[in-house]
Amino acid sequence: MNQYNIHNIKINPADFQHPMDKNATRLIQSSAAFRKCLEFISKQSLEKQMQCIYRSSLAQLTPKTAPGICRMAEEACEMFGAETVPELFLQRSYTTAVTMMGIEKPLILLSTELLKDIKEEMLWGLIAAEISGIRNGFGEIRFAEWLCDSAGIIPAVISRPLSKLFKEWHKYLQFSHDRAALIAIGDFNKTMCAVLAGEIPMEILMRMDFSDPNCSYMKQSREFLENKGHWTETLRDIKAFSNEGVFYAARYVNLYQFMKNEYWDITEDFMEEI
Amino acid sequence: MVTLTGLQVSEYSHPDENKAMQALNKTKWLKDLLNWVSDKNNIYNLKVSILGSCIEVTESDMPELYSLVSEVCRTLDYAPVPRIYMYHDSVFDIDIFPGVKPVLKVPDFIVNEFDREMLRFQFGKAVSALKADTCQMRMLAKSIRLTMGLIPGLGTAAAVLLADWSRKAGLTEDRGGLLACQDLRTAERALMRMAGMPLRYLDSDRISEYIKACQDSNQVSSLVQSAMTLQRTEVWNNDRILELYKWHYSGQYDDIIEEYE
Repeated sequence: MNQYNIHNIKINPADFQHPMDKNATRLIQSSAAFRKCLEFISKQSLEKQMQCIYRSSLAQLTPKTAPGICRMAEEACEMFGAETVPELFLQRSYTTAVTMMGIEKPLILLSTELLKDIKEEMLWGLIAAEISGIRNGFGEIRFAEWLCDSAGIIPAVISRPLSKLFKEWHKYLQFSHDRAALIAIGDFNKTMCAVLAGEIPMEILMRMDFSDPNCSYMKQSREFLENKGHWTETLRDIKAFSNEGVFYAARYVNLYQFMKNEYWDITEDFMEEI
Repeated sequence: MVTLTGLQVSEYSHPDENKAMQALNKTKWLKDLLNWVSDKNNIYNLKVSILGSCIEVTESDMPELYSLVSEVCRTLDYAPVPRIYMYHDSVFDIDIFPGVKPVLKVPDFIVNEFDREMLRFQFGKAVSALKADTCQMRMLAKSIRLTMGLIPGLGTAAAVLLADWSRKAGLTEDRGGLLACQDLRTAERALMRMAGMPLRYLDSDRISEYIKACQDSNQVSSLVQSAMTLQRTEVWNNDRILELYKWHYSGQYDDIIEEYE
């Protein structure tokens, strides 16, 4: 599946975690509210309850029903050194997403819309990217966030101060995920197709060449990032503040720079080991 | 397909739209406010939202879509051909941004859900709005009428005026869409799909039946319905189909086509 054949080699996701994401993650993990939240989760056995909810309401993917997807999860766990292979569930939704959460037994939710026409190696990249977050503690952060969003479960005194930290974290988390997907897939163009899968039809994506620095999307992304002007910057900040994630244009340029500057150093080590 | 070279929006615009526009023009402060918001809205959409979150689809990425939009522009006699940016959403509306290089923000949903001819109708509506230069006002009507409606008195009255004009302008766009695809059945299929009918059920029998049901329900008007319509920026879907149907069979559509044939 991977062009560099780097399966069975363990890579620590912290080695390529985006520095901004690293800081935001540390900030959450060191906050008193987050620690209290984790204590609350463990005391009330909330993780088991969440698993019960998903098992009773969503279709679980097993090695019998979806052997290919389950194998991807196992291989990604080997690659990124995650001890427990997450359980996989299908979620009916028009949002195209793969989401991992959980502390002791993480689970992954795959949206049905995403699976419609995504290519196998792109799905592998997205699953691997989510699994790379397990060792960085993303599972527990996501779970805490999910509970804080579910009104009334976590006391407001704990959930309120956390929500702003979560929002900040979301802005940088994607950068690390994109890097993990690139390392897993081993091809920049396919990684960008995976990142944008669901956003625009696959038949259009397959005609684009994101690895070409002169491609139209690179021009568009640079134009977006370099746009100046009082109103433009103010409106961009407002949009960035209200956004759940990060702009695609910023993700693209960031991943391109990672590929140019750091990717080869990281992958060289794997090649030497092989 | 008849190319309508020299076509003017006034030739097919809904008569009520002009009346609604005249009423709107009387409120100068509203026009000034709309222009100011429109300017900032344009910066936000063109320089932030679209560039940051959508993806430009060039001619080489999707030649079929580009040739379709070019054909629509040629049919309705509009230049230049707008640039296309795509994004992921389950809506049918194409957002339109005029300017030297007009932009269409197209949801992937319609590309997946509509066949080529239905897309011709939908892009025809967008190009018609560009031609009439009403797209900015229509978009603003959708976004700010709720806020304005919260201000009692003047604000509410302005919101109602704006929504009324927007509904009528929408009917003109539908006529533009029909002139672009030049097939009433296609326009009806597109409007029915937007009303919720799955693509596989859109056959002739069902469409005829649906129009008949629309005609029956149209004869009953109620105070509640009128009140509910007041702040809507779009005409109810069934009424849109009927309006287009009536216009087509009034002979005005054929007159335009024959004039340019």
